[in-house]
Amino acid sequence: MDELKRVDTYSLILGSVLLACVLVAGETSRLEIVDSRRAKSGSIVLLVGPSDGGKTAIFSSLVYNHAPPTHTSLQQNVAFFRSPSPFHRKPLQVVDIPGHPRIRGQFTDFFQENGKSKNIGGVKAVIFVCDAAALTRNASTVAEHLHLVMHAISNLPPSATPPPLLVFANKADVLTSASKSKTPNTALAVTRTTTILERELEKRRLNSIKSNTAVLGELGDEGGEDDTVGGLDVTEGDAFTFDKWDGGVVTIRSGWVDIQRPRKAHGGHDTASEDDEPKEKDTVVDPTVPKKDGLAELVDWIATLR
Amino acid sequence: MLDNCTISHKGGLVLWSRSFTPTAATLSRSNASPVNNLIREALIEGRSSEDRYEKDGYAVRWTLANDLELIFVVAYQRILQLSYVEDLLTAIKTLFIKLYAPFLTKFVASLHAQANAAPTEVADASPSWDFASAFKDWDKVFDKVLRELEQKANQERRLRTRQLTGSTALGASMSGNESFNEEHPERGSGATTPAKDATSPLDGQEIAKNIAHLKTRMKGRNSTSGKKGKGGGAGSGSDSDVSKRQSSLRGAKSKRTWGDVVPTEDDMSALDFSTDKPSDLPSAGVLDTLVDEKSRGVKKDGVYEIRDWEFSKQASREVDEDLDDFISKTLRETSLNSTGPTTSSEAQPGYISSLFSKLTGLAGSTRPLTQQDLGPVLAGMKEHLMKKNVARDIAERVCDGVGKSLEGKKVGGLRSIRGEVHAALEDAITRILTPKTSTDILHAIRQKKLTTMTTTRAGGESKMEPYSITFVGVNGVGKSTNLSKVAFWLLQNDFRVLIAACDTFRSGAVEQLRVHVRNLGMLVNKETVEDDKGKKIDLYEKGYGKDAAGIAKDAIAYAKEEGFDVVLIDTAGRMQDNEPLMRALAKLVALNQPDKIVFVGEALVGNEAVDQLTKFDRALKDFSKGEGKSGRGIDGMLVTKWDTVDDKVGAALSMTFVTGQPILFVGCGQTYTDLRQLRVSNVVQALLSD
Ligand SMILES: Nc1nc2c(ncn2[C@@H]2O[C@H](COP(=O)(O)OP(=O)(O)OP(=O)(O)O)[C@@H](O)[C@H]2O)c(=O)[nH]1
Ligand SMILES: [Mg+2]
Repeated sequence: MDELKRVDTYSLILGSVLLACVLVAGETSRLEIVDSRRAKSGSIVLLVGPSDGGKTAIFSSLVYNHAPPTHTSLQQNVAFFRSPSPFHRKPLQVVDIPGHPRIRGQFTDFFQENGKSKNIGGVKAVIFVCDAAALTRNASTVAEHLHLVMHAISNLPPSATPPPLLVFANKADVLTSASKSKTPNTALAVTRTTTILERELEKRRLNSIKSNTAVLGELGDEGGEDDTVGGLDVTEGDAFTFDKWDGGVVTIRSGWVDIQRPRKAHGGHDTASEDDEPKEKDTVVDPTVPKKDGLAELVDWIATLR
Repeated sequence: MLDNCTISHKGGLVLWSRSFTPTAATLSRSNASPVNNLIREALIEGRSSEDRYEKDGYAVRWTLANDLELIFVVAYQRILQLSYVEDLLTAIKTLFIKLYAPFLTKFVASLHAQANAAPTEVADASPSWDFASAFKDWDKVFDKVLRELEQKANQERRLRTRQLTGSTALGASMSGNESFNEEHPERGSGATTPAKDATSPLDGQEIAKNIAHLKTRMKGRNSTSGKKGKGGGAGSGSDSDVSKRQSSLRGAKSKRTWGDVVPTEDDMSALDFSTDKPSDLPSAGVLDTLVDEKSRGVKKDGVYEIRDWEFSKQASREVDEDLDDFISKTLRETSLNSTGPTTSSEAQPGYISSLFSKLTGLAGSTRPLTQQDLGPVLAGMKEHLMKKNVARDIAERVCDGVGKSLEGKKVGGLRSIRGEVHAALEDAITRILTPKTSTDILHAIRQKKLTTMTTTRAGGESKMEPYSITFVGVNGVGKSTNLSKVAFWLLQNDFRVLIAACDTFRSGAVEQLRVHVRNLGMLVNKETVEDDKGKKIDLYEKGYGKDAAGIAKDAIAYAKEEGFDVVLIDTAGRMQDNEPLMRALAKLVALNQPDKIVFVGEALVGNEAVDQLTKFDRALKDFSKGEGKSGRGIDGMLVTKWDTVDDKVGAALSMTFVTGQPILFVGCGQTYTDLRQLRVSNVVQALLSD
């Protein structure tokens, strides 16, 4: 309640507007008036990563508590969700950035101090989501994407604290492990993802050291702005590992999302049979997979954020 | 028969989807689903102005509802000529939005949480966000719509058959009919619903009406196909006199409408919205459970006033009829008004916007953008792009795509329409120019070195495969000069470069390269001491008149033997229409599978750019196809003479749009150092500047 004392008239007006909104929306849940200025700083959790990694599925699980089928995102999704941590008194804002190469660059808006975005310093954490099962096939493009993200984090102005980075190896449920058990093998997903990505990032690090980009400048930047995607420096000239990364803290976790699917295809739209067919879309319940929260590791990580 | 129908949000969440076969269901779940391909290859690439997308034997049609950010997609087998797909899309879009507007509005608003404007409470995870139950009644509505449209298609087909065999006066007025029939032999045959026209009485008036309707369709269809797949919906070509005729027909025809003719008793009973189960009604059931308190609160507010959706207000009335009426009305409007997919969204009740602005906290009055608003601004933008040397065709398609992404979108009072279009255009151009694959060639060369080295390690002697780049293009664009610039850049990066002289056609071509190699060798030797590995740059030549593909192959083998890192293959310039020469080029590509095929083109090129690139890409893909191997197209472009065009950099946009591939380099002068990489934001700025 001490927050209420601090609000000025403006906030009260704002508050009542918000109240009205909430009433309109039919939200019956508890109201909480938060200092809007503070809500701006450091409450954004960015979901980034290659297309088809499962960002939107995770977004939906966090925000709506269930994950319908999804397709490639054309635009960002932004929503509030309640953090599991008691330390986060205000809801966090989760932003799902499309992973398609032509639009993935949108995430840099959150790291730049340009007119477009007032979000600098607003990023509390970055979650890089990738498909653990597909990583052996697309390692190099995934690493390229991760590299861009790490570059952005390590290039933040010194005044800003670099947000912690979680690499989330998603789809652990489809990762076939040697044991052949149907239990999602998150441990395997973590080690595999770490190995593959560290190897690829090391290649990229060496490449950016060797490349003589000064020879081939970019058109229009006579100012000689450095455009090399670096940001992979490690302590003491060793090979790259996430532990040794200079740019910030990286954590690797794994998990999966239970996608809610229509139960089965309608076998044609034959009138007679269809009318007595139940239309509800049930989730596929595979009895061999124990009911477990696939996003537990991710949510736990979010809870550790300060 | 349809494969799949999906209703989804642009953010990626699927609200409702139905597959009609098990195969389609499996496909729709995979990453290669029709919807995913449509988004990746058409919508994100700015090709949304095309009205149909085809891939892997299926065809996809779609429509957008930009105010609610929804995408409606129908996928079907390409060989089927389903005449009703366009109508189906329009109908389901209209119905879906009208039936679920409050839920959808709230849903979309929840995806636009603003740090400073949103309610402090989290979108509560109440069961109301369960789409499956939210839209469960939609299945019935969808079934009915689909059935009616299929029946109508069947009826039309039958009618035509009858006219061809019998009716004289009517048949005479339908002279265009036979060709129409031949053009769409499959038309309607995919319908699984048994046709009922044999039993349904058709009086003269109805036949006349059917014909009038059919004519509209044909007119629309003809003009649409005449425009080669561009422009709006199926009926978009029908002009005002037709619609006038129709409206007078409708007026004269008392209460009889399409909606009355088509549905049969089966249909009525199929719609299980029986009066004794009011909880099943979308009005009482769906919306209340889904929007919970909202409907109440909003009603109090006086905002929740759905005037044009009659049965929602009167749960006690005969709802069967109301919903039927509603559906029929929509269908009628769909087919008779020659609806472009946008008309319905323009007719959106104003309460959506007011509710939306309240929920998102966006201030100012909002209103949907209409085609009329956008038309002049878009035309201006198109002119502007063409002044920047963007090919006419490309400027048109890009601007049409922007229009499609904006129609129906709500704009606040603060931003002008021009501002809105400008922003959307900037966004679209940026997306088109931004590469979808890595353009870091140095990294790719090193990657290849590493991977080929490890694979041969077992054999002891480690000889890595050289990275090969083939330069192609029309005559006189500066292929050899710019190839030399690339060589210089690679040399600066400590790679050993072999140039393969595969232009065995134009006299002087080999000598020209010889001069370049000598120059480059001297430049390199001045700077770096020659290492023990031997020459850093060399020319591989076999004179004139020989088979270019073979020379390239020998050059690559030589490079591997001598430890060169990169092979740059110079090819003879050729006109895109010269099939024998294009075949020869494709042979070179097929035989050597270069790592990159770079098209070299002039920045000066205007409308020609489209023709050149389309034909090079096509010919390469078609002619380099082998058994089991798919053809190779252009991987990227090198744009020369960039320094001569000032800010008229339209060729960059034309070229990237046509191929979908990035501009790897631009050449901007006469010396070896005049090679640059393109920064997308600079090109966008240049294109939009006045
Ligand atoms: N088996 C399995 N499938 C998943 C999992 N997470 C996501 N998926 C599926 O993977 C596909 C891609 O998921 P999305 O959430 O749309 O991927 P995205 O990262 O948002 O992709 P873009 O929007 O293109 O960047 C969808 O079909 C999901 O249903 C998972 O943990 N396990
Ligand atoms: Mg997504």
